[in-house]
Amino acid sequence: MSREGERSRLFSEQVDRILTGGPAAVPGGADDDFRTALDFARDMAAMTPGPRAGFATALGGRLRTQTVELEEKARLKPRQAWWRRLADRPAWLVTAAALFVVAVGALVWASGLFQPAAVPGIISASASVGRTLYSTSDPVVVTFVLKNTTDEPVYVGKLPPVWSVMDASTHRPVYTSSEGEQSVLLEPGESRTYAGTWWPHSEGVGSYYIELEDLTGREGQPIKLTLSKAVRFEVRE
Amino acid sequence: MTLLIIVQMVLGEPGETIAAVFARLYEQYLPKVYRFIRFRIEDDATAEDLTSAVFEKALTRFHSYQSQRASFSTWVFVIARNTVIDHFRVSHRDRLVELDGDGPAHPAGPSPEEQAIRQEEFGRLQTCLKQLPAAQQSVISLKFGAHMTNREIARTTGMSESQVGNIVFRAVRRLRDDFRGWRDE
Repeated sequence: MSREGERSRLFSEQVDRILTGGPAAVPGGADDDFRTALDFARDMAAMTPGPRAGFATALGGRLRTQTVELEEKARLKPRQAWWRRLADRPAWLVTAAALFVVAVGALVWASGLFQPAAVPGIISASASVGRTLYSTSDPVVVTFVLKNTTDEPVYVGKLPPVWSVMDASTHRPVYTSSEGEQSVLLEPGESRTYAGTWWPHSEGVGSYYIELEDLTGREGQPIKLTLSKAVRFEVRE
Repeated sequence: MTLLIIVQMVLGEPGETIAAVFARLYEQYLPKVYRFIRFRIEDDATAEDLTSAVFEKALTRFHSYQSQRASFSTWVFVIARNTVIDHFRVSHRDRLVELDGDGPAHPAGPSPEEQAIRQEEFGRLQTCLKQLPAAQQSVISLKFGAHMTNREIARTTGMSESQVGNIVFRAVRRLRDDFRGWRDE
């Protein structure tokens, strides 16, 4: 360890003693710089305010209530089968029937029966991230490159593309970007590059991958985007 | 297995209820979490809001806490750091230090005059702290706010222990010089 590294280590040792209320000792041979820094560390520790008693009590009370509610919910877990509970409540039956109709309708719509066919392959899409492993405090910067692979100009609306960070275990999005407002006429062979940032810390550790939504053509028809290579990364604490 | 049973097995004593486990952790970590946040946040009300947010998130995320991966201290301070980062991303305004009104609980100095002086000094310290790079601010807040050892700070931030030690020494000396410059004005 270098001399400076040794001084740093000794300094932290003494600061830790100050913070735990113990006596700090200036090591023999320590210079004025070290001594005055330790004095200032002592001043800093004394300056730092603690929480108000009223605040501590109020927050403690709220958290106690929430934990008691959690315990109560766990204790009163219903034993009756869900379909029996539903059958006993006509209003729930009607709601369930309506939801069923909506779900069937959504499935039919998603099947593409009533939508103009997506034009595949005219825009190629690739994406990349800086690395495959992030900590929860690191920003994940994703770069997208879209390219017109045809011999004709292609009109593309609503750029930049909508992209999502997908949880690899649940396959559900944990983040989705906003829809773009830019309309662009991509010349044959022309490419555009976009970048977006996702801060993972609010979602926590896990494995993720990137998905892109289809673009929109001049007539409102979807332009299919498929990433040339899957983009996966992990977030750890 | 419910999350409540998991919490009890990981952190509680035999026969201890979840409410008792969390109350004990709250008592132990509230001062540290508050001081850590207060180091970075210039007004008491916002510091209290963020502290509340940290503990509420901790309570709702117990199911994701894995004791074999990190100590509870490391885990809760990752939440605290991220909460502060989120706050700075959303709020770009610098708030003025409030010198009048109901101040925070300073550890010493019962007289109003001493409290006012300490409040002003702490406000100045925060101004000096904001001049440091973000990584140094984070380390100083964890050291002097949360009273973490260098090893704990290293685990929370992903830095090496020697890096943390160097930052503490360097940052305190810089703060000393900047603060001294203010005092001499």
